[in-house]
Amino acid sequence: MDYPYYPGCTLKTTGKKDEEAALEVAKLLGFELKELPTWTCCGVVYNLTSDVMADHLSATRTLIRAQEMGRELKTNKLVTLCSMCYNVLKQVNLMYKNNPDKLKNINLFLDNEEDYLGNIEVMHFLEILYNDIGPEKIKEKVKTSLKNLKVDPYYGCMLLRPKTIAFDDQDSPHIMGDILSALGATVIENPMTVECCGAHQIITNKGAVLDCVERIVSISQKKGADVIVTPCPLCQYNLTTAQKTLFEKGKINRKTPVIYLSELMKISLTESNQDYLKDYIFIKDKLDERGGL
Amino acid sequence: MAEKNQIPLVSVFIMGKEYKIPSGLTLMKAMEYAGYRYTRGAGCRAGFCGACATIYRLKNDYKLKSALACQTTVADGMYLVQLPFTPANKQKYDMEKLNIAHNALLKEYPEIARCISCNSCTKVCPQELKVMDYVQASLRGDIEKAATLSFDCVQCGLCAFRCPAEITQYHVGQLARRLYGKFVAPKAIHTEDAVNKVNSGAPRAEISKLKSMSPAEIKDLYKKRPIE
Repeated sequence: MDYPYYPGCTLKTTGKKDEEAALEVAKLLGFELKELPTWTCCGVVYNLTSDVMADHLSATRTLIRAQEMGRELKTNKLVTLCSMCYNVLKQVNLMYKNNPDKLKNINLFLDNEEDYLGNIEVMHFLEILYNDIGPEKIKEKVKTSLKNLKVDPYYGCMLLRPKTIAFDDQDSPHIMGDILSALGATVIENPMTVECCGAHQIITNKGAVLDCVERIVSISQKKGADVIVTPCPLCQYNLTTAQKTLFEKGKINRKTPVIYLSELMKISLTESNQDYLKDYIFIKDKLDERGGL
Repeated sequence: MAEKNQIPLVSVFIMGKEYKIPSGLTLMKAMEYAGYRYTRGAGCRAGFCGACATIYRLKNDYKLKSALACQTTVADGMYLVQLPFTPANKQKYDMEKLNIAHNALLKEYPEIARCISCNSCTKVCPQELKVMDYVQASLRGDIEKAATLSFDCVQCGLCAFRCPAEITQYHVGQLARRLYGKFVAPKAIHTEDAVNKVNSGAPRAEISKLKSMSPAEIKDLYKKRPIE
């Protein structure tokens, strides 16, 4: 089974590691993410103003590209890796499902594209892993159990809010934890897992991001997490950069590495991961201290 | 009174005034036929320079169309105006100080982040380039794609006129091509070799020999030149 895949701008720039690892993980699990031949920015945020349709053009074009590729691959699913893109594409798609008149209007405007029929299902990579593959099958494919690693799965807010687009429990999500358990890792529970990392405030109000990240990371550290795992490139960026500042200011006494779920999965699912692990000394050291992998 | 074989005339409205123009003329020649004289904005008259960007509408068609005046022939019921210049911000940059980091284009032209993918630029482009796609490629730092997709741009500026996000697409594309040429594309070693050869003075003897020849001798030499 292959899926049309929408990367989004971040996955091609600051989030490259996530894409590289996720494409590899998909192959190891027996499916392929096929990048849409052309795509535009998702729109960055979902515009809640009900009568401004121009801001939905970007996402709509991507949904049309998915519709075209879906005919070839015989699927109506579109997979994203970035939480922000997932949120925008899914909300735009849902808006069309609930408002056929708006879909008609936008199709009239997009007169040099085929009509969008409203049938695409926007899925996050996590959903594919959990629903289409399943933790059991992932467990079978594990080459290196992460049994000596304590992980803190951090969702952020874009995957689970608003409720209409959430694919997991909004207050105590379990999907990422289940997948990490399947890899053999010890999953800790952090009540801050669905709290916002500060998101785009990083540009205009860095202080707000520092506050958010301090709350998230200090609990994670008290609970003894070796690594924070996230599916979101913006969370990964904010949590990593804010920790540097927090550490310099003495607000936290150590920095916890923040990596993508896909990276950890690649470490666990790859046959000979020694070369790849070299990039993750902090994990290798932790595991060596406790008797290796 | 119509003569035999007379070229049929069509109605063309230039800045609102109707003129009867022989069909088959280009928009540029039609303007001249109607009495306009170009002192600027005529450009190369061959579709390469982009100086004669024109917008027009056809009777009973809601769409605003565009063309290069030197490359398009008149049609009956055409309402047109030529836009010989585009006021557009153009960054001054020092190529030696630039790089090809993923935000290299975004740094010089941050307004590309305002693109809403409306595709107005692509629709208006008289060169039929995928303008929106190269703006989107620029946004995500894909310099090679931006350079390739914008390669045939003639810098007419129509895209910048139509953009609701006020992006100056053609300047962004130009920077992408410059970055691609300087940092990505393979170096043209043969050109470098040829320049070195000239600088070394090797061809000087041959040139002095030519200089000393009479016109008849040169003509003879030209006729006997090896032809591939």
